[in-house]
Amino acid sequence: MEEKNTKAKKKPSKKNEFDFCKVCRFHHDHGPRHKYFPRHKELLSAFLNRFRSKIADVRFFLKNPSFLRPQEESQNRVWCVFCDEDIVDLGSSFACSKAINHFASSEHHKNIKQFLWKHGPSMDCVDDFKISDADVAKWVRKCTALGNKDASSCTGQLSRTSSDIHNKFEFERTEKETHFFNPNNLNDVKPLLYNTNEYQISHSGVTHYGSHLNVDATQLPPGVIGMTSNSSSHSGDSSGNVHSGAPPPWLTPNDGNIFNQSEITRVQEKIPVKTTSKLNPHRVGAAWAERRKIEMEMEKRGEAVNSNTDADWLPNFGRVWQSGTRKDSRKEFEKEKRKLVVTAESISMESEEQKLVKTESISVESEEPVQIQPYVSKRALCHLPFVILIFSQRAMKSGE
Amino acid sequence: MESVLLPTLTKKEEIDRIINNTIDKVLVLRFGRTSDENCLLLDDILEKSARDVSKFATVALVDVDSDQVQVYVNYFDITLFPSTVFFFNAHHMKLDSGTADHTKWVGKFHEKQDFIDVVEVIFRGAMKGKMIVHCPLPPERIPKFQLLYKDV
Repeated sequence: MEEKNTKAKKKPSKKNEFDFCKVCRFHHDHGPRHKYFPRHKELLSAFLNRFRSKIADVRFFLKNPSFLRPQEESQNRVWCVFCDEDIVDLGSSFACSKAINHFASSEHHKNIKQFLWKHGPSMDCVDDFKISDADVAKWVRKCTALGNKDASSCTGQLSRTSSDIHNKFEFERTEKETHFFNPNNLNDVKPLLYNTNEYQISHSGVTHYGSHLNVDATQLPPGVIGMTSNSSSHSGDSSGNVHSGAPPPWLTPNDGNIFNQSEITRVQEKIPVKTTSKLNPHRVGAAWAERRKIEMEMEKRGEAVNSNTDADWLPNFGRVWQSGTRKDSRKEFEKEKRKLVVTAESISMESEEQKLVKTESISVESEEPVQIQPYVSKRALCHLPFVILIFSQRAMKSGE
Repeated sequence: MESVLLPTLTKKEEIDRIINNTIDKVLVLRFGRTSDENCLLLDDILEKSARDVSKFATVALVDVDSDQVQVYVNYFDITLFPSTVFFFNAHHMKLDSGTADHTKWVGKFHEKQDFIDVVEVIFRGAMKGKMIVHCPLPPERIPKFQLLYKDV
């Protein structure tokens, strides 16, 4: 029994092999307890928040399916951190279709669970990173509806656009010397205008995906009509277009700009503001350090700062032979200093007085002493030798 | 003999400035004179380790023979040389090394690593809010001295 107890006590700590933590991005030998470390927890929450925002973008297209142009296929990509693979929408007709299918797949679900088991202390956020089958079914229905609508309207529109292009081309050729409008180029111009409409109407926080999307089918007709109708008015308008070098509508102080400002503020809110330092607020002299940093910044900017460093400033110090707080020791030292100063002053005063007296006597002697002749009455004359003796004695005493 | 790396301070204003400008780092002030053998040995170790601890400590030398520094020599109760005083954010850090004086380190260090260990312990303690830390060195490496109160 005793041997067992000793063995249990003497059981050495398990040496864990070095493992790479994907969240903290470093190697460690802490073993499975690494996921409970506070630093790891912080990094994990930041890591998962970043991926949540990406999934939020994909969920937008889940609710609002839209067509994916072939030119934008390569730009529509998501890196799945749980499965460690890049999801690119190649060969798909709808935006984020492959991403949506991936996030709904069972393999992705399995990888989420594995990741959270390995890195995360809790498994309650699994649903944040997956798309349910019901949502996918709704999305598929929307896509098919979209596809049907588009099939009927798109071809007519395209022909119309082509004819309009031809008309526009001839119109501008006859009217002015304008740029050569290649139908293909015009098709490229078209999405630009639509994309601004997309931004204005959708009011979403989409950054990467939204800018490269094709137009929503429901908006095509108005846009096209608008374009055809505007084609004649554009030449007279002062706003211009890409070819004339005019600024894009979203940068002009209109509705588009307001949206952009709100988007910018939203994005800025997402970015963590790094004004506060990560140092322990309970460290020694933390308040002093923060104040001093502010003072130094003000000094750098050139603003006048009231410097606290007088000639008598002393740092916080606990002296050897003083008991009590450090303030007491500083007060003691200042008292001692004052005493020293006072004694020094008194000594200096005395020495000065002595010097003064000496100087007076010296000055008296150096001026060729005026013979003081006191009033001597006639009666004293007879006593004159005695009087002279007294006066000389007095002079000697004062000279000392 | 001035070190190329370590600044030598001879005025109170200079000491005040370095204390006020060292933020979130340990400030090591060596009080001594260059004519002393032990001071020179300590300076050698400080110079060699200054770079290693530069991320969390600043080292400076104070010449005790200067008149303007006598205020601090008296304030810090420095009677034996060399003496090393530690500060963090203008607050004095005490070091309990088993000797009679916890306010400073008296004497030289046995080797570079000892100095680095002491400074590290002070930094760690300061970051946790401790104003006195326990010296990590074994007693045989700590210089012994006798503290006399007013030469008694």
